[in-house]
This record gives sequence, C-alpha cells and structure tokens, in this order.
Amino acid sequence: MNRKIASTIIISILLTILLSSCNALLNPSSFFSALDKPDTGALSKMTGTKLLDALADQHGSKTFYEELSDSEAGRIDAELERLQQSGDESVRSKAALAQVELTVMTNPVVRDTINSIADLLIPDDHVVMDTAAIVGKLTTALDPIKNDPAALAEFLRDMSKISESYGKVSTGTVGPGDMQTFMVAAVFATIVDVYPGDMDTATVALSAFLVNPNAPLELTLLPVSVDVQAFQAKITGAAGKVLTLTTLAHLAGLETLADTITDALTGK
Amino acid sequence: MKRILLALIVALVALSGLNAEKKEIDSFRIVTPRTTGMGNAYISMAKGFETLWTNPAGFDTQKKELNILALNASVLGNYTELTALGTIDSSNISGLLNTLEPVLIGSGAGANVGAGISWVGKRVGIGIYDSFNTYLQGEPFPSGVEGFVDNTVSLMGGYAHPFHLTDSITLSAGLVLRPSLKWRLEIDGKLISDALDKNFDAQSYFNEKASEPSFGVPVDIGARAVFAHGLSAALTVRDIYATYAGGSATYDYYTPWSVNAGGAWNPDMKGLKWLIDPTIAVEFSNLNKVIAGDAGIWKELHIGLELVTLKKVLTVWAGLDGGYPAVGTSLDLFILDLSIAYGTTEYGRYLGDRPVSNLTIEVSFRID
Repeated sequence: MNRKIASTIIISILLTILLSSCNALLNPSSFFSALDKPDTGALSKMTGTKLLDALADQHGSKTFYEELSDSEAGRIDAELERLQQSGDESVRSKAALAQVELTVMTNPVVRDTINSIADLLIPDDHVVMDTAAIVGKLTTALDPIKNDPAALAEFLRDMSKISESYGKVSTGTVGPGDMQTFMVAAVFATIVDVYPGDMDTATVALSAFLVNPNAPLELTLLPVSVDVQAFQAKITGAAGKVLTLTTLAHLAGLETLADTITDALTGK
Repeated sequence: MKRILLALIVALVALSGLNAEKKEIDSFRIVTPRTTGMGNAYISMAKGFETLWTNPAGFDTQKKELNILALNASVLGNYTELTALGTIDSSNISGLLNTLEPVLIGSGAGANVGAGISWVGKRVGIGIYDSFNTYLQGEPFPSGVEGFVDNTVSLMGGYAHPFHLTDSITLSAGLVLRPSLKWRLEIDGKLISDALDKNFDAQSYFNEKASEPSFGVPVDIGARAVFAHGLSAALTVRDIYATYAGGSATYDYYTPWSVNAGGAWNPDMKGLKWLIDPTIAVEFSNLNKVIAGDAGIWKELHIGLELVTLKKVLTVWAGLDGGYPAVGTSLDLFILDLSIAYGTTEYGRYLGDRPVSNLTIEVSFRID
C-alpha cells in the first residue's frame, strides 16, 4: 500500500514536471500565479497616507499594475492628485512619486520610451546628433501608435503628468532612474507646452513628425512661432524644465548625472 | 551565566548601532543542484555540506561526509533573454545596449559561484566556503539598474543533539555559527552616474569601495523530528543577528531573520530500495514574512522530490519553487559527484513579477 501510494504520487509529480519543464525553460510561469494576486480593489479605495504606504509596498510590482482595472487606476490617480495639494511636504512628494510610477507602469508606450534612451546616455563617439535626431531616438517606441491619435494624445498627457508630478517633489528618496524618467517626460511635456491649451494640435504635430522624421522640426513638430533653439531653451534654459532635474539631482546626490542626462537630450 | 548572557546581548546591541545606515541583503547561501532541483524544499532533508546553511539539525546523522572540494556555479536570468547576449556585437554600442535592455529590465542577470571544504557527521559540522554572487536588474534602463557584487568567505561550525522522545519519535536540535568576511560593492545610482562619466576609473572605484571586508556572525538554529513510516518534520530560524559591520563598504548589511517549516516522507520501498528510494518534501519558507503580510504563502511554498536510484549512483530531482518547475540530476562516481539542475525562483513581490531562472552545476570530490 505504502509503495503504491508513493509510486502514484511520484509518477504524477514527475509527469507534471516533465510536461511543463520544456516550456518553463524558455518561459517560466508559476502554477500558483493565479493564487498570488494583490487585492487591487481594496487598495484603490484607500486614502491619505494609508494609500501611500500601500503603494510603497507594491513598488516595482509588474503584477500589481497589470491587475489594476482602469477604474481602480483612475481612483488611485485622483487621490494621488489630491494628496499632491497637501500642506505636508513629505506627503506631497510621496504622492507625486507614486503618481509617476502609476503613470509609467500603466502605459506601456511611456515605459518603453523611457527605457529606450540608453544609446543617448552612452553615445557612440562617432555619431553626432542634432535635436531632430534626438527626438527621433526618443520616439522609437511610438512607432506602433504613430497613426493612432487617441493613443498619442494619451501618451502626451501621461508624459506631461509625469513632468508636472516631478515638479512637486521636494523631499524624499529619489534615484537616478527618476532623473532619466523626468528628463524624457520633460521633452514631451515641452511639445505640449508649445501648443498651450491645444492638445489636439500637439498630437497632430507629433504624428506629423513620426510620419516624416527627417523633415525639419519647424515643419512638423514645432509651431511657426517656436524654432529649435527656443524649444531647447524651454528644456535647458535658465527657467527651463532642467530646474526640476537640478532639484531631483540634489535630492539624489547625483549632480554629475544631471549634466550627463541634460547633455544627452540636447546633443551637447 | 546570566551576566555573561546579558553582556553578550548588550555587546550585540551596541555593535548593531555602529553604523546607522543599513542595507538589507540576501542570506549566505551556495546555490546547489540538489536544492535548486527540489524547488528549494530542503530543510527537512538537509544533509551533507548543505546542512551548514540549510538546517543544522542535519548534523545529527550517522552518515559522515567529507567534502574534499565542492565547486558550484550558477547562471541567473531568463534563459531566452540571456542567450540573446551571446549574439552581442561588442563593436556596436547601440546593438549592445538594445540587447542588454530586455535582460536587465526583465529578470536581470547574475551568477553564483561557491567553493569550499567541509566535514559533516557524528552531530558535528564544520567547513569553510566562499560564495561569490552578482546580480543586476532594474529600470529605467540604464540609470535605474541596480545590483551588487558580493564575495563572502564563511567559516562554519555547528552541533546537533538528539532527543529520543518516544520509541518512534526522535527530535534533533542544532545550531550553526557562520563567522563571515564580506566584500561587497553596490551597483547603484552613484556607480551608474560615475560610470557614465568619461573619466571613470573602475579600478580605483573598486579599490576604494571594497578593499576592507565587513564582518558578521550569523546564527541558524534548526530542529528535525523523525517519526515512524519515513515521515519527518523540520523547523528552522535562519540568520539570527545576521549583521555585517565595519569594512570599507558604504553600508552595514543585514539579512532579516526567517522562520521556515517543512516536512518530508521517505517511504520504505523495501526490496526495491536499491532501485528506487524516493523522498517527497514540502516546505514553507519565510513564514514570519507571510504572517506579517509581506509575502504570499504560495510564493513561499516549495515542493520537492528526490529519487535516489541504481544503488545511489543516479539521483533525479524535481520540484516546484513557488509553483515554478525545477528539475535536476546527479551522478555519483565513487568520490566524484557531477550534478546539474534548472529551476526558477520568484524575486518579486508576487508570482509572475520577476521570475529568475537558475542553471546550476556542481563538481565535487566527496567521501561519504
């Protein structure tokens, strides 16, 4: 009896393992993954610092952000927006950083774009890039949505939101990844800024650039009133978005990285 | 005796406050094919040199094992992503970065190499092992990539004592101390920032950050009860006071303590035992984290099977590590043991977040 039970159990386990091991070798997935999911419904109903603490526990979890429904993500986003008006500097900064992560992790095109600038940061010495080439590099991940105005508009809105959120960070733990994320978002937020109050036109301009990336920026991405130098100044000028990067660099203790990122995104 | 204990506690508390900035790190461990192949369900079946960092109750054994030399090497990462690294054209920076990106923002990449000598048997275990670990992962790429290079030399020694509770139940309780020297370098934002500078001098950086080791004496305690019908149960508390202080590292390091519990069944195959001798093990790791809500029970569930066959010449392992399949095998050729295993462990918060696969081999010269 003992041997029969043992043999049955052993053969069952071996068969299960063998049948799944080939697939597991290439693409590991857990038999228990459906049983180990976050309670996104409960978390999305949290408010205040309780929500901030709960989101900190989920930091970096791909599964958590994949499981969030649109309505749950919207509820969390609205509460984080509210918390960014808090009188408490720490709450404001934490809420802003949490909103950045929520925005990045729930929009794959935003995430891919931020991850695609390595060869700008570690440039090939033989290649000299102008602003158009840099914007071209930054928009590589947009190719699948270049003819989808709604997706492009959402992309620009999310990048603007990220840029604005970082502007509210004045304390707390910030890393070099935040600096990279901000600076990429800042470039797209500047495209929105040069078409004040007119997201539709900004989207059309970005679409025109994606369709014809080799044309001068003044004929595609930028309005008649803004040339390339003025566009760059809005990012790296004395009152440009680079000021937020300086604040983030100071918090992270990484001032030299701020220069590297700024140079990379301005072709210096 | 009370005074000595009090003085010891005061000294430990004082030492723990020497350097305010602490960083959490993984427990000392050498990844072996046996533990990997069994889905990391090992505490109730701890034996041989693995007992030194799995469950010290395993020192209470009649079987003696002398590891003249054990060499273990593991590659960590997603197999599909890692094989793409073999196609890198190092002369093309853009191509190199495009290939690295999915690896480092996905499962990451790493290695574990361990080597050492040990003696286990007659209630005692002693050994000295070196464990070299490195791992890199993170996003956004490349600024958000983080990781470490860690080399730990550990002198280990422990003892286990049996208690015959009834005719059919024996409880063994053991303790192991691991005085360790740790050379560790964090690959973090500061290093990434410096490395992006054209004037970065890697040699000077490494010399400055990892020249002097930090020191710690982690302690593990464990118990194993053996019942009738080949059943056993085990409980361990690992990494009690696992703080590494001093040295040239930026931080003091600590490994959080963990409570682990498991059971095993080794059915009596009677006349067939020479042909097939199976053991099935189930284990829950990090129970303290599960109770605190910091980890899911399914992620910490490990199920393993060991099949010793052909008069112990060939051993086959299979398991589920948090539900991820694992397989392995070992060939015992007199004093030479050759083993290989493949498994996957979840490194993220939830199953599916960041499964990190692990191909591990072992070559050891062992008398047992």
